[in-house]
Amino acid sequence: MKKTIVACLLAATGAAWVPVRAAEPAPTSMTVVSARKDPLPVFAAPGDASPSGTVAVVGLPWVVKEARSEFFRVNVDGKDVWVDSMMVRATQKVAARCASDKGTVVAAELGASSERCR
Amino acid sequence: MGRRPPTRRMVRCIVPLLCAALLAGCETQPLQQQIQQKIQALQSGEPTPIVLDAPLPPAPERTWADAATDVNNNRIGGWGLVNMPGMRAYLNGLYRRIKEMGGHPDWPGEVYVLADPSLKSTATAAGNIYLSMGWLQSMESEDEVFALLSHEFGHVYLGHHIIYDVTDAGDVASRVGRAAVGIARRASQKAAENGMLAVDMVSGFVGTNLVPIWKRSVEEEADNFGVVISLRAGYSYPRGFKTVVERIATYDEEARVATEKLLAATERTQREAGGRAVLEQARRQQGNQKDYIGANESLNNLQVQLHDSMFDFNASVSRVLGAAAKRAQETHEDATAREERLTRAVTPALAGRPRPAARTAPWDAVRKDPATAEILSHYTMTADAEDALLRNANAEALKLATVAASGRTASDAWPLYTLIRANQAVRPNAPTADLAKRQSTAPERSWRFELYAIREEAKRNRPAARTRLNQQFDYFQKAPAMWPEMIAYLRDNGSLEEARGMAQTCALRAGIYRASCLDSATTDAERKVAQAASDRKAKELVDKYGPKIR
Repeated sequence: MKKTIVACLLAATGAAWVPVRAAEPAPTSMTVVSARKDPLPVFAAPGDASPSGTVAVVGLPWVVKEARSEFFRVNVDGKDVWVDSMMVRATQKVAARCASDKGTVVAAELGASSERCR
Repeated sequence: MGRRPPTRRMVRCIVPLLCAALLAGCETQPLQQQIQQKIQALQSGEPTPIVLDAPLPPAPERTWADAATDVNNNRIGGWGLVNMPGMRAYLNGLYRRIKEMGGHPDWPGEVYVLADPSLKSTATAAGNIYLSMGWLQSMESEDEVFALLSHEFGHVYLGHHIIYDVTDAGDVASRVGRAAVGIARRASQKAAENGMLAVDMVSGFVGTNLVPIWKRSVEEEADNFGVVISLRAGYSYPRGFKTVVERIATYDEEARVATEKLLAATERTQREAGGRAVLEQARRQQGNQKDYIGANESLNNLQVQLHDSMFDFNASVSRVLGAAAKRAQETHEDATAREERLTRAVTPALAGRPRPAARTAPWDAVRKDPATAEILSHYTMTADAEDALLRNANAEALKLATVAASGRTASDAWPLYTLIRANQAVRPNAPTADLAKRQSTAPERSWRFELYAIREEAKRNRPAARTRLNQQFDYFQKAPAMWPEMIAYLRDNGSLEEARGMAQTCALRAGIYRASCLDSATTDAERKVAQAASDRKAKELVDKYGPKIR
C-alpha cells in the first residue's frame, strides 16, 4: 500500500527526480545530503558536459572535498568522483543564528527568511 | 515530494468556497483575482515552469508606502538598523541593476542592513529591502547576494504588498477573512443558527492556515521572478539561488536539532521535577517518611511511573501537534522542498546554456573593506559574547563584548547592550549609565535599547527618564508599534491615568495594536481580579455541566 502511494506520488510529480536522503545530515562542513537520481551520474573532471559513469547513492552524507565549476568532488565507496551540484543537495556553511530576544515585531514579512527563529 | 500536508488538503476543500465568496464582491477586483489565482495555483502541486526568454509580466499599479515611515518601522523592530555605508553602497548598486533589469530604474527603494543575527530578508511596500547581518555574514558570492535581492525585488515588482494596507499580517487575515465570513454564512446551517461561532472558526482557520499558505505561494512567485532576473544578469543558479536556499535548509536543520535537544532536556527536567513533586506529596500524605519508604513504596513508585508516562504522552502529543501547527502556519515552505521545486523548475531553462562561474571577487572585496570588515567582525563577536553569557563564561563574554562595542560599533545597540550585560555579569554593581548614554546620539538608534536604558534610568531619576522617553518617542515618530511599550512604561512609572488615556487613543487610531495597547494599560491587580472572575465563571460551568458530562 505504502509503495503504491509513493509510486503514485512519483508519477504525479514528474518522476525523474528520485530523492535519496541521508539519515543524518552533517551540517558543520559542506556535505552532499541527497541526490536527485540513483544511480547518480559522475564526471571525470569538473565542467565536463557528459558523465563518465554513474555511482550508486550510498553512504550519504558525502563530505565535499573540493568545489569547482559548480561540481563537487566527493568520495563514494572509497573512490573520488565529481558530481554536478545541480543533481544533489548540499549543506552550506551558515554564520547566522537566532537572536536571543526578538524585541518589537513591527510588520508582517515577505522575503527569503528562515522561519526557525520566530 | 511526498504526501501533501494536511493544510493543502484542507485548502482543496475550502478554495472553491473561498473563490466563490471572493467573486461575490466583497473586495476590489484586482485583489479578488490575485487571491483567487494564487490559492488555486496551490492545488496543482507542480512547480511553475521558468521561461528565461519570455517578457516579464507587467508590473501592477501600486501606491508606494512612505519610505521614511517604512525605515522608521524597521528601526523600531529588534535591534534596529546597522550603519554600514560601504556595504549599503554596494548592495544599492546591485539593487539599481535589478530595478533596471525589471524595467523600472526609477522606482523608489533602498537596501538597509538589519542588526539581526538570523537569516532574514524582507521587502516592503515602500520598495525597500532589509537584509540581516546573519545573511551578510553567511553569503559567499555576489551570485547569492543578487539572488536574495532579486527575490525581494520580485515581491515589490509583482505587487505582493497590494494585500497589505500597511504591512500588517492582521490586515491580510481580515481581508481574506472577510471573504471567509461569507462562506461561513452560506455554507453552514450551523452558521445560520450560531453565526458568530462559525465566523470565528472560519476566520481562525483563514488567519492561521490559509493566509500563510497564500503567502507561501507568493514566495514561490518571487523565487521564479528572481531566478529569471539573476540568470539574465549572468549569475550562476547553483552558486546563487540554489546555495541561498540550501543555506536556509542547513540553518533550519541545525535549529531543528538544537530545538529537539532543548525540548528533550526541558522534558527531562520537568519530568524529574514532577516525579519529585509526586514523591513529596506522597510523603506529606503519609506524614512520616519511614512509612512512605516502607509499606507504600511500591504504590508511590507506581504513581511516579504513571505520572512519568502521562507526562511523556502529553509531551509527545503536544510536540507533534505543535510541530504540525507550526508547519501549517509557516509563511515560507520548507527550504528543502523549496530547493527541490526551484531546481526542478529551472533545470529545463538552463539546458544547453553556458554555466557561468561564480562571482566571488566583488563580494570578497566589499567584505574585506576595513570599515565593513570591522563591523561584520564586531557583530560576530557580539553573538559569541551572547553565547558566552548563556554558558556563564562571563569573563570571556566581557572580553568579546568590549571589542564588539568599540570602534565603528561603539554606539551600536546590540553590541552595547551585550557589553552592559557582560559588565553586570562580571561586576554586578558596576555603573553602566555611561555606556547606555552612547546610544542616544548614535547615527542608528534602537527603540529597544532606548527603552531598556530609560527603564534603568527611571530607577535612579524618574523625571530625567521621562524626558528621555519623550525625546525618543519623538525621534521614532511616535510609530504605532511603540505605543504598547510606551503605555506599559507609563503604567509602571506612576502615570497610570496617562497610560489609560493613551491606550484609548491607540485603540482608536492603531487598530492592529489595539489589544496590546489596552493590555499594556492593565495593572497586575486588575489582571488578578479578571483572572479570579474568569476562574469563578469556569468553576460555575464545571459545577453546572460537569455531572451531566460524566
